[in-house]
Amino acid sequence: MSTEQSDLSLVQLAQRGDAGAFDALVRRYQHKVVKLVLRYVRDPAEAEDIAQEAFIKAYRALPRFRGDSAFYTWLYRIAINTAKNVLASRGRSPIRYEVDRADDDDYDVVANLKDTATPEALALTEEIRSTVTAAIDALPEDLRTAIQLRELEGLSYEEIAAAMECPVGTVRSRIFRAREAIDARLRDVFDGGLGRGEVIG
Amino acid sequence: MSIKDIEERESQLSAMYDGELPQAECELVARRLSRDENLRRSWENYALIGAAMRSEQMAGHRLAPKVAAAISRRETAESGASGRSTRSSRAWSRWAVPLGSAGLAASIAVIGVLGMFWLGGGASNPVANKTETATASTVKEIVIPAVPQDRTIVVASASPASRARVADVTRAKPAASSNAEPESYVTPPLREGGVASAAPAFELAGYVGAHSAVSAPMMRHSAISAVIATPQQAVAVVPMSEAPR
Repeated sequence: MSTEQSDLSLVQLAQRGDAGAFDALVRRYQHKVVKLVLRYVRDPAEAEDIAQEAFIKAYRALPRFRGDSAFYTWLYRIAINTAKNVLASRGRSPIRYEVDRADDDDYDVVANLKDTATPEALALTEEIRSTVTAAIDALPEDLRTAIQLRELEGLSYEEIAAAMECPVGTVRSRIFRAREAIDARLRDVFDGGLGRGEVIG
Repeated sequence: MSIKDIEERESQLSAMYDGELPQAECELVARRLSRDENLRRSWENYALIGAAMRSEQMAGHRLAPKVAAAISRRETAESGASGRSTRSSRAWSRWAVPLGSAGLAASIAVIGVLGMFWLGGGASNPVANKTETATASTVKEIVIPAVPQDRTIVVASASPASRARVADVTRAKPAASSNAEPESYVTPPLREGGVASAAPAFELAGYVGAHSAVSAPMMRHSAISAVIATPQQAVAVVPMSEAPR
């Protein structure tokens, strides 16, 4: 089972008109899509507008998505085309960043955001980051190691199990419990008033 | 649902997020995820946790509600437009059938009315003479409504089976016999002896019968029947309200 296949389960539900399934896909990829669009436009609010339009286009085109490629790859192309069309319609050129890189994971837009985001947005971003960091620091070591190997190193459960010399089921449990603890801290932050608006913009 | 069950579900969700859940379970969790806002919030936070751990930017947080609202708005607008279109189509279809029927009836009626004027020329028209001669003693009962506003002319015999109606959709002045609003129908003046002058009706019925090639079969049959039904009975003019139906 891969990420692509888990996405496909949601895509298939969404293709049958399940709005909640599409919402789950949006929630999974909203950061990545905005981050991608920020290569084309400097203004984070404009990037969000373009990302929103890209998601709407994807939703409308979903019946034609056959699963030949990963959902995110398909969504990625829609977002890029949407951004390019917006720029073309306004007679503008993409900002100075390299715009057609297939892999956006290494692309760091934090520096760009520091130039463009509002102080409030940056403060909130920093608060989220510090909350997550604090929650990770508070985790037992086995949970912390498991979540770090997964999120930072990108290892599969099987690879983590081999590295930590434990069953795959234990890895799954450790990663879940780590996320559960961090999620609880994040909810405290959001429900306390932060994060209910926009992080950026 | 027990705490253990909830934990198991969220454990499955976490594994699905990582693409580590078996396909069969994944479909089940996807359905749960699509229905459960709380699970979707956890799902969203998993993405946020990963981004924060990798020091990625967190732009686009809370974009999902905007996307959902925008999709909903557009679908509502489109379904509204589509609904108007459907209603418009239905309106057209509602109008189309009656208009078609009225067109046919109007054609026949106009021909009939024109025929009345034409046949009113008397001896100058041989067809009129023939028709009147042939039908003058044959119509049992003829009703000539002259409703002031819509000029519906009904030619009817005593027998329902032999009744004929011709609708005249042409607008004309009411044939009122007095200044007062007519109670029901304007009828031809009575001839001496109390027998109504049904000449126009004869002429109309005769004309329709004579020009039956342009009439519908049923209409043709009725008009002819009205003419030949009971040859020996006198003609009387009755109000429309009393006409057999």
